[in-house]
Amino acid sequence: MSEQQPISEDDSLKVSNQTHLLAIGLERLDKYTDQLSSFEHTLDRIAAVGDDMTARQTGLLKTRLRAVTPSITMIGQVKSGKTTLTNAMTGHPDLLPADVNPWTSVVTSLHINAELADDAPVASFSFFNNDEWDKLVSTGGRLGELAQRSGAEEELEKVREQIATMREQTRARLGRNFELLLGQSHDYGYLNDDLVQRYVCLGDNFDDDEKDENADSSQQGRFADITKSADLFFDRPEIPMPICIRDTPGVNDTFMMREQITINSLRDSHICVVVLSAHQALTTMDMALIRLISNVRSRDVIIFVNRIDELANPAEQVPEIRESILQTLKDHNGPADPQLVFGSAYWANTAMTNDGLENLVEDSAEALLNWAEVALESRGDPDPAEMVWRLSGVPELYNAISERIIEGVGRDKLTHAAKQAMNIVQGLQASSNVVQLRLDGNASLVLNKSELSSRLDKIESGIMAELDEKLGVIISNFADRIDRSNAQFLDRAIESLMQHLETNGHDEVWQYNPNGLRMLLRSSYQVLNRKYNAICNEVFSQAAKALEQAYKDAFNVPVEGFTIEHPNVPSFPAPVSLGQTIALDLQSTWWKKWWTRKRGYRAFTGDFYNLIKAEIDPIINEMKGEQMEMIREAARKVLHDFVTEQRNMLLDVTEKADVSLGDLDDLFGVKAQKERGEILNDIFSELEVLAQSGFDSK
Amino acid sequence: MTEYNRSAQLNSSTSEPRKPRIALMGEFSAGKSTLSNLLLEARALPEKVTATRLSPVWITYGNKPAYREDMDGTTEPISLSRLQHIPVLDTRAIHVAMPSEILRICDIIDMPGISDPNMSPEVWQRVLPEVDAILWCTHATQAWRQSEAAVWDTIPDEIRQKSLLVVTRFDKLKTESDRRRVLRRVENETRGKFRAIFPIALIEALASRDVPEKWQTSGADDFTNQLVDVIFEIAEKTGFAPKPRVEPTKVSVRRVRASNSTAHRPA
Repeated sequence: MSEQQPISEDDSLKVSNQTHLLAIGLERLDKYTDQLSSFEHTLDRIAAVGDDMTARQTGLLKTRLRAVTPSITMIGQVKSGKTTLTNAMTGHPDLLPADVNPWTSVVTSLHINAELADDAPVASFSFFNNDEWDKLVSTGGRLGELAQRSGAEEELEKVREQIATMREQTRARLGRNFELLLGQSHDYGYLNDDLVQRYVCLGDNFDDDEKDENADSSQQGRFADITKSADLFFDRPEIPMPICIRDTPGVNDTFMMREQITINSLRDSHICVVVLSAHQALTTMDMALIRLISNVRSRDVIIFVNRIDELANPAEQVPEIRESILQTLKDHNGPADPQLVFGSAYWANTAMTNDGLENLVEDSAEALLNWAEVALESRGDPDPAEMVWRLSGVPELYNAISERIIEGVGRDKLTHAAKQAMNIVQGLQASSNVVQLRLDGNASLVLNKSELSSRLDKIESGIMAELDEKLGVIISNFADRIDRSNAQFLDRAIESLMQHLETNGHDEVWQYNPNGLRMLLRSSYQVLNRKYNAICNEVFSQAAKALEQAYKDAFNVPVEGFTIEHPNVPSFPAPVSLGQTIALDLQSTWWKKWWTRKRGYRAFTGDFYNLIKAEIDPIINEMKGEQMEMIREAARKVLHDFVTEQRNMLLDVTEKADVSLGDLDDLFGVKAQKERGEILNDIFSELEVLAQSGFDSK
Repeated sequence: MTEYNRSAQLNSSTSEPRKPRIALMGEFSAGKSTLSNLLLEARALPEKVTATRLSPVWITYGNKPAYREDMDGTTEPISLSRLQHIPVLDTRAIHVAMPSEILRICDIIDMPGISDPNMSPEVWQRVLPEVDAILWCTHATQAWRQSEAAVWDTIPDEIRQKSLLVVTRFDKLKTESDRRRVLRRVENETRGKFRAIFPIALIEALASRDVPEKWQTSGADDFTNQLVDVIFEIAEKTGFAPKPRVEPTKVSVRRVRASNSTAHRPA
């Protein structure tokens, strides 16, 4: 941090004076956070009737519940309007530099309403290191191939060259600082527009006189080409919960490193907003991108068709475009029932900008009025900015995002937390019962603490062994199944090639679509996933039953209606490799050379087989290996955590059973016990509903 | 990607004298149809915001009824009102004749757009070897993406040097500085790969054929002048001599209706 002087330290992030508009479209999320608060209140009530350990447990639950920050990744082709849309969504029309030329290679994460320590930085910029540049090439996936982009086979080589060139230029520019900066990060306790410009905008770099015009005193873009990620933290009170909006450089730029960076950023996002341009409905690139994402998890894709302000007649054209996009998605195995939102980031920022409406470009204003005819329900006394905001599609987009947050990541966490809370309440009820029975004089502790402990050990090891065994079976079945699919695919592919060669010779291009294999792999994975869920549910509930029995046996009393809720089955996206294409490079010269020797095409079946196999093996192996290990470990961890939690509670009850009667009476008076029981019953029935279905998202 | 069939190219240039063949190409919805309307001074084909899926449309001078050409060269009459029912994959080209002035000096081949998920690249690749020059349309607000650059890299340099890059919808860029900077970037990215680059506001050009100032500011004037240059250059190689009755200097599409044009184009 020694070289650069702070540009200006005033905290002058320009903010719109129209941010109240953001609340439109976020109503559901607002309601959701209210419900979350009321759930937290319930947890507090549990803590109040319990002891210190209960308070620790509920405290932990609350932390976990709030720790989920939904992340929304804006993705699409370069210049589709991702950045402009992101700015509008945050209420800062000028936050991230949006330019007519592709401009940034940085993934910018906007952490809105994040809880931060007082001295935590609010702007953090991380630089690449050499390894990461190299890795970009190997892990970025092959969108070009998936989209059948021309020259896709040589793309990785081209990316490598581009990165090397850029690296050299930057090294020359930054001099000795270059090596020092790599792998570092710059943190700031303030955030303003200059800072963003300096780290995020790459600038035109056309080596001409206009360069100076843009590079002003703020050293705009000084570090942009080595910046890997920017993390900016700020609050936006109109957005009811912490969210992270991530802007990406985009795909299909001629500077292909941007594409690699963009694809890599998909890995840790909950919701993807694919931004398209209305004037060019759905290209092979968009389609490939959607397939790549939806293979990961279909419900998380929202398609935002941007730039309807550039249509001559949106009222007529939008339905046409919608129809065409839906048809194309359907024809090409895209996600079923995708959510489409039409709008204009330009309009959204116009609504957010002071006097934006007066400065609306003429054509755009006409399109706006045209669209308003069909898209806007007439309301009482319309505020023009609000009308434009509604027409921009951003409220509808936020509504779609809210729905996905509530029903996706939100529901998972909530039902899980509710189940855990139920178990805490059950534990308390059990201990209440034991106390009650002892106070009444007819309870007896059958198992002492160490006996109980070893019994629990036995339960855990038994149930773990069962989980391992059952998962082992489905995992090995899965491996067999995809091996079979793979073999069939190879046979079919080779037969098709041979027929092609025998009919057409080898001068004509032969292409074989690996969609068949992808579908087979996908359906195998779905089968596995179903079985995985069934097994986990079965084993987890067995564990819960065994623990219930341990309770009953430990205290030798029937505990009325006592059940332990088993935990949720961990859920997984399908492996990313499913989205990878299988490239069958048959046009390379060495094949041609072989074929022309006229030994008959069949002579090369074996070589061809190995060629395709080598392409597919990494995908197959990842599915059979890493992915299976991951789901196995996740199930084991959930089960282990569950048993541990129950063990703590059971031992706690046992301790209460050990306390002398006199002390017990002091601790829990007879009357207090009864009240406590009623409160717990109350809370329990509240939790049951939540654990079933989460909140109502409507 | 098909390897470019050079022999077809050579054959075509050594055989019978023929008119230069100018292809319109680019991403789908990049403005090819609008450009063809501008050049032909008439709407040859249906235009839609969502991609129109047609085999290459080969437009020649005349009044002959339209027909389609099969993969094996068989032809069959077709009705222009039923274009969308023509089987794309089995049709090498749709042949249409029109009495447009520009067609007196060249054939125009309207290619299907690239990057259309519903259109195999094969459909345009197989006609490509017969083309002399290309007018590549790129959309100003998303100009020159990798999908375009990659296809362009497969075109033989000989053709690229005669080809023009048309930056369409240039009026959608909202400020002068934006327009300048987009052009800079495109020039930079395509250096040495096109004969020239022309930003055009096609819709404006279409509407202002008879208003010289507007015709010029739309960018259409410079573009059509250069195009006619290219066509005559190619004509020398293909052995095509424009009929005396049509003075080359009169052929510039611009001048067909608006005789008060200021542009002059020597043959």
